[in-house]
Amino acid sequence: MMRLSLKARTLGITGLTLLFFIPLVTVALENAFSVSLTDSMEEQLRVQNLGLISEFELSEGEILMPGLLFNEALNLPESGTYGFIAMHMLPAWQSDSAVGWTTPPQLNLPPSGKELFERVTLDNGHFFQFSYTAVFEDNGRLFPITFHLLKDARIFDAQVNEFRGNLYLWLGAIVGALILVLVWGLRAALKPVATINTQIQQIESGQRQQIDGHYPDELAALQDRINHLLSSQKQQRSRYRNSLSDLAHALKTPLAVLKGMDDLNDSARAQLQRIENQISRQLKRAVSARDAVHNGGIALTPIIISVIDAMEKVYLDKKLSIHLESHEDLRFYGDQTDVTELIGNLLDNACKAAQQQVAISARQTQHELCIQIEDDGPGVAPEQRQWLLQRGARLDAYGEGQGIGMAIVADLLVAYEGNMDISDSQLGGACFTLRFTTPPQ
Amino acid sequence: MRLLLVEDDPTLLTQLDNQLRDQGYSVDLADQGEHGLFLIQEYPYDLAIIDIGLPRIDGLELIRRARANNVNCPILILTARDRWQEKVEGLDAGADDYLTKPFHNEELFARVKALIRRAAGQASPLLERGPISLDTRATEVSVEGRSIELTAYEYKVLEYLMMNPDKVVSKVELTEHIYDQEFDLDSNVIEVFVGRLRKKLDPENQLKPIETLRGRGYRINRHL
Repeated sequence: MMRLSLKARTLGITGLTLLFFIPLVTVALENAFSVSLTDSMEEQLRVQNLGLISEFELSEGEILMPGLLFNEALNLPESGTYGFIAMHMLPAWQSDSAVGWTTPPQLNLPPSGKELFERVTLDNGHFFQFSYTAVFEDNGRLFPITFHLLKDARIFDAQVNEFRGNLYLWLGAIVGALILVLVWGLRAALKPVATINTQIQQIESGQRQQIDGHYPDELAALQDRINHLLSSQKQQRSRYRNSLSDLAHALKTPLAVLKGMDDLNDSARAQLQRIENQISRQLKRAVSARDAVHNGGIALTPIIISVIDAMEKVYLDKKLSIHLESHEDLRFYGDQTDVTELIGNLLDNACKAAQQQVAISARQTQHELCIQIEDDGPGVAPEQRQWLLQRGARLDAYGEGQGIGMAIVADLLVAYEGNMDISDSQLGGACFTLRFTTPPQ
Repeated sequence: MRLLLVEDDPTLLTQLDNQLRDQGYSVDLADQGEHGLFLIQEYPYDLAIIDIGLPRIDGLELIRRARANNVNCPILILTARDRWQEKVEGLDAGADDYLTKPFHNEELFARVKALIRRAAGQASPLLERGPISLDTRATEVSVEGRSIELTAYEYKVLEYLMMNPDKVVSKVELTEHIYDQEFDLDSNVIEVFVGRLRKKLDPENQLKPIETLRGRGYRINRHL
């Protein structure tokens, strides 16, 4: 099935409906109006025909009609209403209005006592014809007399056309208004769907933990189910993490005992080191998840300060000067443990490499957070930089000096879609620059 | 030097105990937090090695409570949890250094020595006083470049005195830092060790490396 949006589907169905029903309605209305107008015309002509009959007199086989008829339209030339009388099926009289008619029209004649109403096309135009044949008796003789009334159809046609024009105009306006109301209604109806969509995106990017707010009944059930799913997933993840963490930690103490054994040969030690590295890295990978809620992000500077305090304790003997340049309002959009891990590993490496000075600076623009850690140590050779930056480089490839710290930093950078750059520091050693995109608020 | 080791895993506890004793330390053991807290508050240790993952009172809580009770000895934490967040929390609680499990014994010994030295205000692993020099890494003593053979206890006495060069160290204090809690305190033994040390360091009785301050204790000669 085509993947159309709900809006497109609804608008499509409505459009098809309108396309089908509006012409039907137009035809029906037009027809009804035309029939009604025709009926009215027939009735009007019947009355006028009766008026003509009432003024008719037959004397000695001759037709006697007054000079001025009661129906004014029959007296005025080219009035559009024309009267004709036929006797014995032959034209015998025509009204003054038909003065321009050189020859009487050939019209159908109804049988005696019957009416005829029809639309006829003559040489000089379209007309409605109403005819009635009556039998008159004069001096013992019977005379079949047919009274014809012709009404010019142009007025009728003009009225129908005017009606049609008005009909189209109004139907067009109604269709337009209907579409507007529909679009507005759809937007209003789909707004909660858009809100849910936005909230799900926020959950994905870690800015939200569940779907909040009041939704219509149809969506409230969906909201409950999604929230339930998120909550059970979170619990499950937490259980997995705890189990994994417990397992790894439980393995570490026996590993410490094994490593502490005096009679262990080098090959066994190397294997133990591999096991240890794998456990450490996989454990850290498992717990760094970037799924923590960070609505407004977490304050970065206090974390950096706590790591610096820790480093100053650990590297007390080196008498390092660790300089921090940062603002109180810097935010990291992620998990505190993860950013502590990133800064801890890089700062630890910097402190190990440094002779006297380490500098850490952090700044944030609207779009990115930039953390820079530099030292006055020997620096990182250009050919080694690319190798260090290689994401997902095999753990075994990391040298003893770098430990698994850099592998973990690389893993975290992948998780947070951040990037790292290694350059020369003004202090003389290496400068590690981390960049993270600030999510839109 | 007298150490406190708090670790709940009996195998690791015994192994570390043996290895630290082999390195010449006196070691008191605790396999749970409460016992460790009692010992660290009760005895003047030169260093405490505390595992973070302890039952009931965990290592961090132990350190916090000890520091709150003015226990100043350096503390090295052992942790299976090697995330920086946990290391930072441990150091923030009052520990001075950390070591993540599993570790090389050499690494542990180096950290222990460095912390003890640091606590004594000695930056260098080489303690020197006049012609006498004591290498804490190699546990070697020499006078004017000549290597001197000392027993483990003689070395411990000299190391403690040289770690605290301007301090008068009482016999009780020396005993407490040299022996673990199982030892029956007898101050005469200290006198014997000091006497032997004097003979070995200064056979011709010219240097007088260790002063006796009557009724107060011993001090490394300030005029060496």
